[in-house]
Amino acid sequence: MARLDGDAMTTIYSARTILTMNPARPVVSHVAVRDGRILGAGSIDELIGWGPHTIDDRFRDKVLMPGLVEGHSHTSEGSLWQFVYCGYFDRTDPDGRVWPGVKTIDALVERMAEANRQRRRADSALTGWGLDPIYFKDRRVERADLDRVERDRPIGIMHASGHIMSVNTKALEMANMMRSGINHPGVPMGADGLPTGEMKGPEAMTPVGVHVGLDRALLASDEPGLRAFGRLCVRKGVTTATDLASLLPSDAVKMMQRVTREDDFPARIVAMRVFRGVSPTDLVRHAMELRSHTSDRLRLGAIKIVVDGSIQGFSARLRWPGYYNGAPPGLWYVAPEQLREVLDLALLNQIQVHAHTNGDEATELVLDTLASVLSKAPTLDHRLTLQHCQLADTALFRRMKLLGVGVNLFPNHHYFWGDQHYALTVGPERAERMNACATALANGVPLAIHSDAPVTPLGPLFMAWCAMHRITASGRTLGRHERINLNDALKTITLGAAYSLKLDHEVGSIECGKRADFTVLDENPLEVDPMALKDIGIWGTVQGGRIFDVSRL
Amino acid sequence: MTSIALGRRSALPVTIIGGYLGAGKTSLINHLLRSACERRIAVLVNEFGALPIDTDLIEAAAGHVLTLSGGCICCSYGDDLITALMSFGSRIDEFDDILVECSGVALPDSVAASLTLVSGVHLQGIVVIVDASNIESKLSDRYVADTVRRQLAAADRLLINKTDLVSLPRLQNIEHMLASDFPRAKIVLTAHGAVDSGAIFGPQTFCGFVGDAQRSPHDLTTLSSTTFEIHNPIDIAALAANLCDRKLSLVRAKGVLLDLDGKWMVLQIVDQRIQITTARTQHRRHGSLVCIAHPGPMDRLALTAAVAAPVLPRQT
Ligand SMILES: [Zn+2]
Repeated sequence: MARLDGDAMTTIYSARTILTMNPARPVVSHVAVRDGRILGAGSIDELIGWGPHTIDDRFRDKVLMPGLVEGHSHTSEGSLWQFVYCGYFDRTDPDGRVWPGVKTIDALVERMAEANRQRRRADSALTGWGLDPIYFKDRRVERADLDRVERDRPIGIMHASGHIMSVNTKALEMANMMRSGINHPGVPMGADGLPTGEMKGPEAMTPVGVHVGLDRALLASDEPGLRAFGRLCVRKGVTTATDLASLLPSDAVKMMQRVTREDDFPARIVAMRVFRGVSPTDLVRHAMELRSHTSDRLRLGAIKIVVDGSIQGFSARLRWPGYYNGAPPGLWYVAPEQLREVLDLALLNQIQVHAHTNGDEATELVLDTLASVLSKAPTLDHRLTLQHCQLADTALFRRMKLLGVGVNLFPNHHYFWGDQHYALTVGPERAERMNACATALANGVPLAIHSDAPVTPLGPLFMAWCAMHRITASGRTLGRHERINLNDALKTITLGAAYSLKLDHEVGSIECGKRADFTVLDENPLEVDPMALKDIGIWGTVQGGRIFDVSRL
Repeated sequence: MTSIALGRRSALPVTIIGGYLGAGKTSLINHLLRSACERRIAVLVNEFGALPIDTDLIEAAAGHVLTLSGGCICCSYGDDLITALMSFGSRIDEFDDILVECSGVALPDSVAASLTLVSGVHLQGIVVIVDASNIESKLSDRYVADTVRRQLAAADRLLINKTDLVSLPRLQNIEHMLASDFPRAKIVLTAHGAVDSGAIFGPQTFCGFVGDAQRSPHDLTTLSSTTFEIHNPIDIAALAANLCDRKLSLVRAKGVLLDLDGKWMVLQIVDQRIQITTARTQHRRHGSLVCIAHPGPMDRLALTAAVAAPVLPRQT
């Protein structure tokens, strides 16, 4: 251990401003770092008292914040960039190139054709991702469109939701699906009796996915993909991120350990074991085993359990009166009895549980189940966190407070799909209360917000902007009363997310004893126009005392 | 009619086993594997969990695949049934049947729809199991009632399991309720999943032994069965003719028997229709015959006489 006798190197950084998120001294001018941790935040006069030091002025024109924390992302965002970006909105890749949004089907065909001209291997598939035809006035992207790119090479494009894929005729032929007789809701058939080329849902995507480079193992993240994800973190000011939902087989864990240990890997990854394919007993046993392999930059041991589906896929479990368009009330992805067993065992063994609940009925089930588990085995600080939890009403938030439950809400949804929620899925009233950040705070429920990258882009400043303004892509303000103020918004992307990961004692604020994790900004979020929060330039990060400059990645 | 030559199939028949968590899907599958005799079954389970397959059936285990006795296998598919099914499309000659066990909250008709995405398999039927001891409460549960109802509505056969745990009047109520709400489904009563495999695979593929299913006093509606061990050569055609005597009131009979030429043959009788085929496995030491009669007292004496007459004493 380092001793505080002056042998260890102490660096004191000056900055234009340092926003600490420590209410005792919210704004300071200097921060002292030793051994990758914060000795203190304050004035230079206070900090030189720690003894011999060097002064580093490289940030004197910059603004430091605590390193931003992304509490619900998937490292597959890094892997997807090996494919062609086809999204509607501009998006930055791990190497800093900004890909302009694809606004029309013709533009989509041209982008894929360009990639096709540059292809290296003739025999490989052409793969795209991020497509969102909702913005093409609901004109679907079908095989005839992609056949215009190339007829003889399999082409597949994953949609932004991650739940739909558009493929060309060649891909369907390779999957033996250019045939009539397919009777599946996820495979729309054209007037010619053959699939149109849209594949909806995991069952429909799987047979074709393997032929277009989009098989499901992708989400497990490959090694270059994890490094790319790390670079994206630096560009977005993130120093701690999650890989929320992986089977975490031992090979993947070994890879993640190896990569995160590299000297220049710039982020702390919290990877959770998803409840899938094993019994509750084996799940908890695996989580406990994983916990024993945890390290500074790879945190293991928590569980993710997916309780229902998604709202835009009409598979989230909604309470009465259900979906605005009359669709059935959604699907359970886990039986209540299994949920109960997982919570019983996890709480007994101090394993933290993150529960994906999109619909309000799913949220209510988790609260009912937890209440029953806690009444038999009271557990302090279980810190169960509801992920997404998009439709909870005020009464549910009051119960969360009483049960010690936190939420990680999804305000980005308002920007990207709020107009559809208003018109189609849940209707105007519930669309306005979706992702009720203000209600959570008013009721004392610990609050984080997330991007669910790659579903929406990694970028906590943009998330904070969404939570503050609740503006949809069409410009409507959806739920004025659920907007939160700037201070609260900044807290949710630092301490709030850190708390949800049980890391608030280590990261999330700049104060004595914590990790030296900083986000280095060009502007002060407290001084810019609130509408410009999402556009603040990010110089880079400091992670565990190591400096990462975006321009040198 | 003595034998039906099965032409080369173009697709493997898939039977979907659905039902809410805990209804008894696993015990049914174990029972079917145990009584599979001649059928090579590939079982696809959602998860291996707490040993869903009886350990004595397992010959080898490797990752997601268990090799079972008699050419059967069991694979766990997690949440990726399609990939698992795709791997069987090219193995038509290795198996006779695929059984897909749904997860406890899955909708069997969704699983059935996904079969149409995979070439080389086709839907044979959807069996949904009901736990007689809790079906009423599940159908009024605020969280899962609609899920259970959608599961039941998908069934072409409803297996009311755990009948030994409920009183006869209650069982009759359940049966009546299910029959009127889900008229499309054929209803079968059972306990411990010990159902005649003909009820699962359909009469054409009937195979198996009701065996020694534990029967409760309430279980009056279940067929009665008698099993004979027959190791000596037997005149199978004569035996079959004897068993078709209506006085015995047999519903069906099934056996693997040594014929007078020393060949192992499979005898099946369903509703007086006789089928005799060559057994797939010729290396065996024991023959057996199961006779299943309509509910009511079986005339065991007459039955034993009918079976014993065509048996040739083994030469010593
Ligand atoms: Zn997610």
